[in-house]
Amino acid sequence: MQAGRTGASFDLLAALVAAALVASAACGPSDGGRVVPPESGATDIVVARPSFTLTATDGTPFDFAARTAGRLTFLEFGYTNCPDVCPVHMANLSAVMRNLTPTERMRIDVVFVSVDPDRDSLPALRKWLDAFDATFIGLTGTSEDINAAQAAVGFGPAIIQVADDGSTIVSHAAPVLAFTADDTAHVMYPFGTRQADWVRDIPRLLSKRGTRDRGVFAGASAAMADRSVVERAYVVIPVGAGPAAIYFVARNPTSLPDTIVAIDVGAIGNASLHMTMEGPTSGTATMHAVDAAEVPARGMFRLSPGGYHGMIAPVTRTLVRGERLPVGVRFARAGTVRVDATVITYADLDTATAARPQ
Amino acid sequence: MQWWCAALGEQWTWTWRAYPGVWLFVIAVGAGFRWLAGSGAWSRATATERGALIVGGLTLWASLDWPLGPIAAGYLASAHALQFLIETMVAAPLLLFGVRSGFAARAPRTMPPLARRAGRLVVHPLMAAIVFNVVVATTHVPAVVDGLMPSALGAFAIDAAWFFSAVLFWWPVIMPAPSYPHFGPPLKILYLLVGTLFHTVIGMIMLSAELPIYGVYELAPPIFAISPRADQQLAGGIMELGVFGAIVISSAIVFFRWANKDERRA
Repeated sequence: MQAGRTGASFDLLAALVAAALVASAACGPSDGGRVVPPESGATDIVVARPSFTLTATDGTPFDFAARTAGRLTFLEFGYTNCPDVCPVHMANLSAVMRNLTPTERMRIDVVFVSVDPDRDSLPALRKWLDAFDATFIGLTGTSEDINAAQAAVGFGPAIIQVADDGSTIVSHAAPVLAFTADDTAHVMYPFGTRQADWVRDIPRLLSKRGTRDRGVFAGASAAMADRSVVERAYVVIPVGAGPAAIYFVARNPTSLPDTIVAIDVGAIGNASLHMTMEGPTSGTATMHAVDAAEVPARGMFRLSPGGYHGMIAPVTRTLVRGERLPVGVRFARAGTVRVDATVITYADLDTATAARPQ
Repeated sequence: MQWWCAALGEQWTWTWRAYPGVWLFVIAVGAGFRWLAGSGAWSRATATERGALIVGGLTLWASLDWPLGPIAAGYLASAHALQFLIETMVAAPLLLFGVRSGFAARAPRTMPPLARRAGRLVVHPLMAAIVFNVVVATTHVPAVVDGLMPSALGAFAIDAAWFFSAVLFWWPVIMPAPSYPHFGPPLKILYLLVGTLFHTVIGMIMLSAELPIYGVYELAPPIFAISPRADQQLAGGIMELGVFGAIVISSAIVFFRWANKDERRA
């Protein structure tokens, strides 16, 4: 092995030990049956969606529990220099995701936590993930925080050693945990899981319902349930150089009305609220900027085609279908609520907005 | 040290590795073909036959040894398809062509009667086509590939089966004996086209499959930044175009040799 080269190896023993730890803590799926089909090679577990905050590749804090609550979330711990397990998992997941319907795709997060923070800088992590799928979420942090995150799902800490020849050896738990809408991982996928397994299992995982998913505030974290929340956010790729539309659903669980006063899409462009109104002649429509939109108490307000909507103009860069954009929606009472909007095309719009509100 | 290339699941490196089993196999094949040609065959062979023998031997060696051998065994389905193409559609017919004059001179008088009868049965066009296609079909079944490729013995079994069944397949077309009076050039061309139809089916399956077929390549450590599906489609393309090209070229050779012979007669 050449000095300086990443001679990273994967310690299957560590994975097995980790898997055993999780499995030993499991008491079986709560509904008495497997979440995934019997032929799935996934391992049955019961792990609650963990609460940890690490740094996302855009440099912002990422509260895992809050940002992924109620969504099908695949969580993997790994590192970008991993020669085999990590890139194979990511490549297979990205291949499968590309074949999902936009509606299915929008309900899934893939979160990759680097266990090698010294070598995996934020840009390096982003670049590595982009090679698979630009929507995959990359997280890193201090060794202590990463170890705590692994411990939160029952995994032992990754072990990083420098061999005599200068190569770095990283041993880490390999399984991909699948958290379903009930904020519980009922299964985890070991190395060896094939695309056919993911294709077969993902619809079952998406259909898994839980207490929280059936509730009014699905998609929002429990911590946010006492204030307005935003869900099902989409940014539609503009035609030509035109403006991009933003649609989402705002819910207000409180007993007082709230008001949407601003939308922030960061460096993508300037966003503002608009309303579509019928034009003076039949079949025509005009758009007017509005200052605010009220979300009734214990009610919801939908930004949708033909009605209220957000508009980004000008759009400063090319948007990619399936990309996730962080969007901040500012409420008069609740303050700024952040949500990841999925970038879709106009062709996807009917499917996306017709999806059952969660 | 590994004696034959196999799927080890290790990260690919460009560090050379020795595969002594490959060298022994190529030497053994060379010895076998020398035996087929008989003594003094080299001096009797035409320049084309000598060239075919050398190129056939070298391509067989190149297809099995580092780097193509290990990449084909454990990393890329497309490399595996290329290896298949070289072994069965290049090396086997070239080696046979290289010894055909020598064999023509020695076979009738030196072969024991039992060996002659057995050989006549084994290289009968129908039998050869059946054996070749059964081998091709079996060695492309996902469970067989995924089961055999991780071991040196299993990978060797696939390579050996490909090469020797291809030798059988090409024998009735290239070799002068045994002779089958009704198996003339038109039938030889038909034999080549029909005998490789199954390759087209396998190639089409690889080209059109939505998901990777072979776990050994789907779960292999990434190499050359090619996705498993793209790699599989490339493998399908190699099967389709490569085999078709080889058959078209060999059919053309059979046809023009036939035409030239007729012209000389006229």
